[in-house]
Amino acid sequence: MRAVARMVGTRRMRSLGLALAVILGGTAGAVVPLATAAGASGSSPSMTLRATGTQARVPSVVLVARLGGRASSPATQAGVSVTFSVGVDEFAGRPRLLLGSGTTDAAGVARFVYHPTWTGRQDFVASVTDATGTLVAQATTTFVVTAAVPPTLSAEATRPDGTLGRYVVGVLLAILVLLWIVLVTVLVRVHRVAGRQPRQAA
Amino acid sequence: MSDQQASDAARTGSDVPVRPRENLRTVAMRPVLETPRWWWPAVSVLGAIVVLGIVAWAVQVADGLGVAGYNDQAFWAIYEANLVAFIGVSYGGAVVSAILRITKAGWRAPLTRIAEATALVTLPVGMLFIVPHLGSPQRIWELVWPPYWNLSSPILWDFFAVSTYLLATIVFFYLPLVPDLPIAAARVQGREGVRMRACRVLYRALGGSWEGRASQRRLLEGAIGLVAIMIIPMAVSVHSVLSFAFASSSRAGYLETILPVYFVVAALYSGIALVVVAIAAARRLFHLEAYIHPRHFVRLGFILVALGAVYLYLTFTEYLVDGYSGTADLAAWVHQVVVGRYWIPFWFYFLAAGVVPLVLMAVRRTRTMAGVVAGSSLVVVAMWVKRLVIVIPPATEPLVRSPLAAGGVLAGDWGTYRFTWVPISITLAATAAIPLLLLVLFRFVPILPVTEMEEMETYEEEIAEAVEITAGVPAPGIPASLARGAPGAYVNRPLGPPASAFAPAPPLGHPAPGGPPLGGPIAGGPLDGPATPFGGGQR
Repeated sequence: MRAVARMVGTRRMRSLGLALAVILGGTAGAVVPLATAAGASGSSPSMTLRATGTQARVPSVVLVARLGGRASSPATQAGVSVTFSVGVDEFAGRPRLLLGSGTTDAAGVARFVYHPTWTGRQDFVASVTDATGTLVAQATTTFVVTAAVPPTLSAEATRPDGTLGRYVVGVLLAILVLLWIVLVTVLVRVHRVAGRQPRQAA
Repeated sequence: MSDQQASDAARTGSDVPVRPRENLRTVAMRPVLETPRWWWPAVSVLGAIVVLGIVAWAVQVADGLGVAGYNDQAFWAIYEANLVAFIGVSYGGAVVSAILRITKAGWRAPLTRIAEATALVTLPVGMLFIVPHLGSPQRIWELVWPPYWNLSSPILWDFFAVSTYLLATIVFFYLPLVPDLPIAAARVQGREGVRMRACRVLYRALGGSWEGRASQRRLLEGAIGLVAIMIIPMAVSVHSVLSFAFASSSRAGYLETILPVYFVVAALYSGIALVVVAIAAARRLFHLEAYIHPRHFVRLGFILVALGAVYLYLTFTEYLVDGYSGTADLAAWVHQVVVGRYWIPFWFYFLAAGVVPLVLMAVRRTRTMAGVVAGSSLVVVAMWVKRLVIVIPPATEPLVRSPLAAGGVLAGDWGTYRFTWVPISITLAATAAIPLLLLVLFRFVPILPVTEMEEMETYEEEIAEAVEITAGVPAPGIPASLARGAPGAYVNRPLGPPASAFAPAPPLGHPAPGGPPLGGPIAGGPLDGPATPFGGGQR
């Protein structure tokens, strides 16, 4: 015990205690910004997303994202770019296909009109990122699309000489059929002749 | 005339007895009758690779195209490149055989069966790439079932064209095989085993009672000639149509009017390279050295470099015109391919398929069988890489347009295609399937066109005998009417086709009824081929 008491009282032990206090203090200081960031995250804008379908002239889905959580500061709600995307299942991992983006108005509302090219249940996502690309807010909604825009709508209009094209298709199909007839006939004739039984010697 | 000669004369329908070559028949039937020690290990390894590819495809079906490295920016990649490359190489075998038949190039004889077999096996393998390319296999149904047909889609016309070409390839392989079937049947007669029984059934079903009567020969000659002529424009059209899938899409690098020609030349180039490799492998493995000579490779090498030079020029033309057209999309694409992110595969192609084969054939020391085979091996690989360069860069170019952006084009990031084990395994499986199918095929059919070669060799001997006559040394058994200067002597035949393109050849010195007049310039004779089912030949 005497030895321990002697150690505590030494200069070395005091230095050790000081170093320990500095380390602990530094760690505590590092925790504070994290807690601040979490607090910022907690006060970051929330967002809601709503999808409605229209059948007016072109089948459309109107996506409306409303930014919230910063009601006390309307200036921060206006002019925010909201990115809209839709989940697809063509590739592994259910990636999202980028549809486009809209900018919020003074009420914190961003709209995007999407012309779907396929029908069925679709998952839409609205997201806001900060300047560094970090996700700030995100909202999702599911909507069942009942009418879609035919994918070839514009190609059909720019196709020249559609009537002539139909004849071309007919001619090409006729050539194709003719080729098959010739090849099969050749095959059958040779096979029939080659497979004929030998003639009996006279 | 011996009984065998009489039999062969009857078989070919010609008055000139074809001299059977027992050694040739033995060599040609050796892969059917004997099992080399390496055969089962080779088939096992190749089969295992094919199974690995099937497993990889099953994984892709379960998990989606994403496991193959596809994404929304790299939406076309390795499967399209493989589709183009594998179907392309099939053209080489068929077209080179057809051209050599039409032009009556006699030296073709030992090569045609292997070339046609290569075409026969590579085409279905290439066609299968449409399955992983479509993603969900049930979409195949929409391709083949008429109510779903979209006649505006190049893919549907690809399907029409390639399936028609497959039929033509099968016919073109089958027809020259017919006269060999009795020979093959005689060799397997009395042998035990399931495969031998299968061979007998196969030969009987395919026309094992071929006798070589004049009527049969006329029909076969006509059929081979017709299909040989048909298959050349068909091959051109098929690969042109294959290019429409790219050329009719509005993307820089795809939307090219040069693409159909480009594809056709590439197909022939890579196809002939594969034929060279296949023939070299068959020559080595099945000991065909007595019939396939280094000169065959050198001649194929000349065809190869001619096509390689054309392809190189077309590449230059494409990038020159697109790069300096003043169009931002095209300029960006050319930049990325030539000096940008795709420069390594592009310059690899340029060296391996463009420069090296030309150099190998230009230098006398390397203008050898080994040189041609080495060059061809490089061409096969490099032309596959070139197909990747054709397919991937245009797909990954960012082309999202916006009226807000300067020039209407957003400066987005280029997409990236990353190879994964799935497409690599499927590609390796397809590559392994080609030698595997060839090994299996030649367990059932003679590897050399026996009848055709026997007729060619007989013809060659007759020429040699005729040359002796011109030197004043009549060969034994040659009638005096064939002596130098005698009317109707073979060497005095004029240039032009044989007596009749599809009729049996008369014996030398006896003009065929209705045949060309005799007494032309001396240079004409030896260049004419005999009237064989295979069209004779220039040696």
